Amino acid sequence: MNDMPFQILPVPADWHRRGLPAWTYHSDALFNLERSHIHLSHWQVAGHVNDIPAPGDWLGFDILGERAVVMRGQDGEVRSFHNLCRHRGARVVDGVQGHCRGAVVCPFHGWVYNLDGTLRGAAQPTTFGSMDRTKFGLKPIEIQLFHGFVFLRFLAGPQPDVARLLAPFDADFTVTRMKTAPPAPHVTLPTASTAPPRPRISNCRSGPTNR
Amino acid sequence: MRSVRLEPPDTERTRLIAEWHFTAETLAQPGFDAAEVAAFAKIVLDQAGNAVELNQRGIRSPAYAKGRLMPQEFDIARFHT
Repeated sequence: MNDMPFQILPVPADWHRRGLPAWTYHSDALFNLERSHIHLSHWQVAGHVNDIPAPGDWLGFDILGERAVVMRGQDGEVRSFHNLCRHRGARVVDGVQGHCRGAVVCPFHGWVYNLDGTLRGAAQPTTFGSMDRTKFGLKPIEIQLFHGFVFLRFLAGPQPDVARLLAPFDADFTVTRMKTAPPAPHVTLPTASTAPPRPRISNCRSGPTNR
Repeated sequence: MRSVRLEPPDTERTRLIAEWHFTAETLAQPGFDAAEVAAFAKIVLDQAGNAVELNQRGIRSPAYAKGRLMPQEFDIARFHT
């Protein structure tokens, strides 16, 4: 077994052998701490840029009450935002994946955002007085790409940049050409909901982007 | 390459989302079926999920205080701390 591509960790002979106390496995208080100190403040993989090859393609990403949308802009750049209209807080897109034709139109009252998240226009703009449109774009979320994989971080945290964090595995991602690999169909556990699709009232459709 | 995402919807549940990524050449190979690869792995993931759920139900017992790790589980202890 000398040809293994990774180092086998030797089993240490002498260590404490303690497991975690039972309460940690079902404590709401600890869970809330883990939510903010681990899950939301550490990098989370949200998908792959090749899931969204064309401008307007998007991925939805929900975790622990937060909701993000990862979208490719007209300029080809992949950005991430809180999936949250600046008008009344509705989700601007709904689903795990889809495509917005030219702009993001909030289904609630029709606020329109460019594909780079900037506000193009509010519905009935004259009723908002001198509102500065530049201050009402979709709120950005920290995003980093690593060999095409999209990593998001909702809160500032202790981890370094993803490229540094995953540097030990850089060669593996390179040799498997992950940057250009097309994604396989999604497999989700547990079984995905069988609820019927909700009616769509915006210009953003939900569904696979492999058109 | 497989990416696996673990998300806790609440204190005692975990949602697992797995995605498989292949090169275009692999997908183009005659007889290669990405869905078949994923389906087999899903069986393994289901089995692991069932075992973990069994353990979670056991841990819920008031009689359980804490466990005792075996030597090969040293990395679990590192994860815990």
